[in-house]
Amino acid sequence: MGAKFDVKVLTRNKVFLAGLIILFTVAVVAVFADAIAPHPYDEMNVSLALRAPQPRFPFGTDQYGRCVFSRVIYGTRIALGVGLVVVLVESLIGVTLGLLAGYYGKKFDKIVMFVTDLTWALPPLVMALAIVTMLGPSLINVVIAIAAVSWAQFARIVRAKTQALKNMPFVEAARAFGEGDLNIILRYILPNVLSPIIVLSTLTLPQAILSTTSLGFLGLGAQPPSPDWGLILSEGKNYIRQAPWISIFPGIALVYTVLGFNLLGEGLRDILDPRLKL
Amino acid sequence: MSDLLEYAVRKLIIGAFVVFVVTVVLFCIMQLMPGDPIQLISNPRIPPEKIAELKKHWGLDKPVYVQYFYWLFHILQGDFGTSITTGQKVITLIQERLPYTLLLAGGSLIFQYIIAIPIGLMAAYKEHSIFDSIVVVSTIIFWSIPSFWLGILLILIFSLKLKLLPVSGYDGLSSLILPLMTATLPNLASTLRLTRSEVLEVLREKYVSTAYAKGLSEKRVLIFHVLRNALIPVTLMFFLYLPWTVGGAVIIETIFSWPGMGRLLWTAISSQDFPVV
Amino acid sequence: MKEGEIFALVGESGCGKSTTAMSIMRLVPKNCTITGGQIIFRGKDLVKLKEKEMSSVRGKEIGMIFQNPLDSLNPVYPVGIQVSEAVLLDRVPRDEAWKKVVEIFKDVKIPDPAERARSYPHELSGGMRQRVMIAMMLSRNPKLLIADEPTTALDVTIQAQILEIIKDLKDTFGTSILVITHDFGIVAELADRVGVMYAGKIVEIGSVLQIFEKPRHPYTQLLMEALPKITKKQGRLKTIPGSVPNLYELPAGCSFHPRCPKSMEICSKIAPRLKKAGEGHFFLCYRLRLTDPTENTIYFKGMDIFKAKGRELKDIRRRMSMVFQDPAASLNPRATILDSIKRPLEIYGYKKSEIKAIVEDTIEKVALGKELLNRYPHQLSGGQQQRASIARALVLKPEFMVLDEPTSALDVSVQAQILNILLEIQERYNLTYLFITHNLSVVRYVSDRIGVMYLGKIVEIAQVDEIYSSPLHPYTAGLLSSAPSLSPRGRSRKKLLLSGDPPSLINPPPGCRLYPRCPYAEKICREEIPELREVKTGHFVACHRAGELDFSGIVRW
Repeated sequence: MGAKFDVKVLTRNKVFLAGLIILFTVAVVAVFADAIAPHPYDEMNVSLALRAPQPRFPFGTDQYGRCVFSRVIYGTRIALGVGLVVVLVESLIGVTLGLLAGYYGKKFDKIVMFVTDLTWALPPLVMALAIVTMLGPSLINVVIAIAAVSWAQFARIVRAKTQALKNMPFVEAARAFGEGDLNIILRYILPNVLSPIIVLSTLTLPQAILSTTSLGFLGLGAQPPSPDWGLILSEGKNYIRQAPWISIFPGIALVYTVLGFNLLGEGLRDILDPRLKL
Repeated sequence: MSDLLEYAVRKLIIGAFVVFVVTVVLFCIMQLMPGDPIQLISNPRIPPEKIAELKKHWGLDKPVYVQYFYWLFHILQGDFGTSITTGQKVITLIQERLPYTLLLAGGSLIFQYIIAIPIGLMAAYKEHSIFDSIVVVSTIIFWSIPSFWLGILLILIFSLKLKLLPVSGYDGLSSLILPLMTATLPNLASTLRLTRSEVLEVLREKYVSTAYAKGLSEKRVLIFHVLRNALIPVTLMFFLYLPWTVGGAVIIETIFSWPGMGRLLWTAISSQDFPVV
Repeated sequence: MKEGEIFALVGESGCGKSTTAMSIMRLVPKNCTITGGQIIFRGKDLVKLKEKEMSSVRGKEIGMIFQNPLDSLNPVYPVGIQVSEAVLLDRVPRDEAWKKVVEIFKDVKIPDPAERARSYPHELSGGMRQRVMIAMMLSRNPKLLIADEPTTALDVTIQAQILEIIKDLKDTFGTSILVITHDFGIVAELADRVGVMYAGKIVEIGSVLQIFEKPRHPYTQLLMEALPKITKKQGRLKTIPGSVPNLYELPAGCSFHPRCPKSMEICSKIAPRLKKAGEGHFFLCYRLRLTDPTENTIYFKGMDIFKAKGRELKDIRRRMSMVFQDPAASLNPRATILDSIKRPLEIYGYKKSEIKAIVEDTIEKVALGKELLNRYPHQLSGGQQQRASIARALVLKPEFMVLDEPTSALDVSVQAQILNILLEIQERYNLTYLFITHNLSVVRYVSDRIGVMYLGKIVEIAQVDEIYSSPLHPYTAGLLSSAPSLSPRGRSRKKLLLSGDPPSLINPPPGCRLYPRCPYAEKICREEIPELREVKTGHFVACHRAGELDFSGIVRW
């Protein structure tokens, strides 16, 4: 249970360290995209369409002659941005509901758990598909759709931890000397569910990125000329024979980023909460 | 064991309810979507009266809930309706497509289990060994590869460069290999990871020490006591994640133009052919 | 160890007893290795055996039972299968193996052995599961049985049953038994010879009488004086300063020298060598209204605790406080010790300067070092954590304190420190304590009056000496005679053993709750619930036959 946010412990975990290094490079690319990318991501030049990788276009060009390298670089911003926003939204909903359901129990808990079970039982991608089709394809709707189907994991885990914590002697002791409910939740329970929340956040972030790009790949996410990796891949699929580079490089970038988060999350889980099950 | 049964029954009831909710939600969504299927299949030269007649034929002029109960009524009688776009019976469409999806999903599940369980067991048993480290890192890597990109990559390598296997469609057993690999690898990684962590947890249990203490051989302890207990949560998780597999099917079938349910669903959604959905 | 003897390895937690036992079986956790030394068993060095040879030693020649009998059995197989699995290793035909299982179950006094063999572990009580474990380990007639804290997780009356079984086994099968325990009561009850362990080393070996009556090592001497005795009410307990050292950072020379009153210069330099010389108590916690009650009322200073609301409830909470059993779990792991101790004061609106003064004053009273205030609970030892908990319970200057097993998670030497602190505070502030415990020696040491509880009901209340000298309820008598005596000479005393297990609280028997286990039960006990009535002045009993029964032959303190 004890806090182990110790720099030494963190850096000794090789998996965590590898994840940290990968994500650092990704973050640098996202922040300095303007300086790194040689071309604007939407600069078309049909005469240069479908060129193979060369010094001027390190990853080649697509069917409109756009620089794939620049598009991949700018795509980093979308992936990271969408991932962070989705996790923020879903953890906010899930943690709040999980804390309240776990602490108060009874009817409220039953309702929350039923909704959680329902959300859990639906195929997430199909559900997201349905929501996006209803709201129309756009990046914001993708965020809404993914958050709406994946908050349940947070609620489930936070609720279970809260239920265990609320019967711990230190919580009973607090109640015995007159601590109020709100204070118990904020001062005694929340700090102790923080580690699973952190681990879960780092592990759901890559899932959010994958879902975004999957929807983009199906044409339901970001719309052209956005440099969303999923969109680039879906466009590239039609030219896979003539120009495989359009399909290869954004995929590598995607796997690299997702891998970074997964390594970071697995490392954190080992350090903070080895028995946490997702 | 009765707990498990109770759990299964509870899941089943929830499952039934989910199906109900999904149909309601989907019905509403389809209604809310701009345009309607008649407009999508007809062209502007068809006179409005004709459209109205068509709508009446499909029951589209009635309010949503009437349409829903009308549809539900037919379903319960075993009549799944007719596709608006192709005019085929929905039931025949499903009959045509279902075996392909089952082939893909079932095959992928069998492979997953055959490969993941022994490797997961060994990795956990030799925790912190080189073998274990390789397994851990490669599961994280495979887990990070989205299936649609994996599919593209496999097509690129095996079909286009090496020209060994067909790109897409269904044409004999050889065309099953790539979709099967795509469907299996990421799930294999997660099943493997889960098996490993469950086995690790069981290995720490006191009853494993008891099993050794009574003089059982290493092999017997691992299979009879460790694996048996570790498989319970693994199997449970598998059923819990079943819906996620369905989601994956949509993408894989789209990439490989696999004639299964996932692609049927996807084309139906995009053409708003809601009896099919 | 000699053949056919019961040898007890005794020591405080963290001293390496269990590690020693696991090493004998070569079952140390994966991240540990046996780096050196020898374990000689019947001429073989077990350390040098190959894994395959070792597994033919396990079970066949050495058996082992563990502390918690629920964790020690595989939940997915019936217990009979798990025992027969061991029997089958000796190439016995299947049907014979099953017969043998039922037979051994009979030997360890499991009722309906054939029926029970088909049960799953979770269907059996703790005492039954421990019997199954014993049966499993005896099934191949090993020469040596290692019992690692065999009764620690069990009820006192069940503990007495299991100890009887272990003694019988030694007599009938001639098995040598190595008992590992921290409980000197069990040692006194069971052992022929004793080894006392401190910081990974045996510091004294002797016959049980030598150890209890003429201990030679200063550590053993101090431990004996730190133990509260069940036999008499005594003055302050002797305490051992400090706590057991971490096994990774042992002091140089004799490991005990920093805590030893007889330490000399040589002790810090040269490591010495062995020389030759000759229940149901949860319900009371609800008094603080931590959960909603179902019926009945509890009054505190004229206020009905269960009906109190708002200000009145807050007032009650301020004037009452509570200390819990598990010191590690009763402090918020994410708050510093200072934050935990001062929090009650913040809630009741004390000023910053007042808070500082009160906290300083309180930690001095509980002997908690000031330097510990900025640490987190996991950085403290068990005794320090419990002192912080007591400090937190004291800052609001309560009139009434509920102490729920405050020392049962602690070692003997630390227990004595905490008990002394509690008594000092009580005398100085004239506090009222409700002390909940299952430890009969501790009760005798701390209390003025005792209430004995069985299955959620008080069965007897009286002054402490009255209870111990002339109990009136059969349960009290059974409890007192089940408790290990802390003197090997008390072993031959006549005992009143209560049969069976305590039934579930959710579904108690009708009438007197003890009747299914009571040797004196009559028809009326099954039908009518006995009232608590005053039999002598200040002595209340809930038994239909109170006064008729005489336990003086059974309990002799």
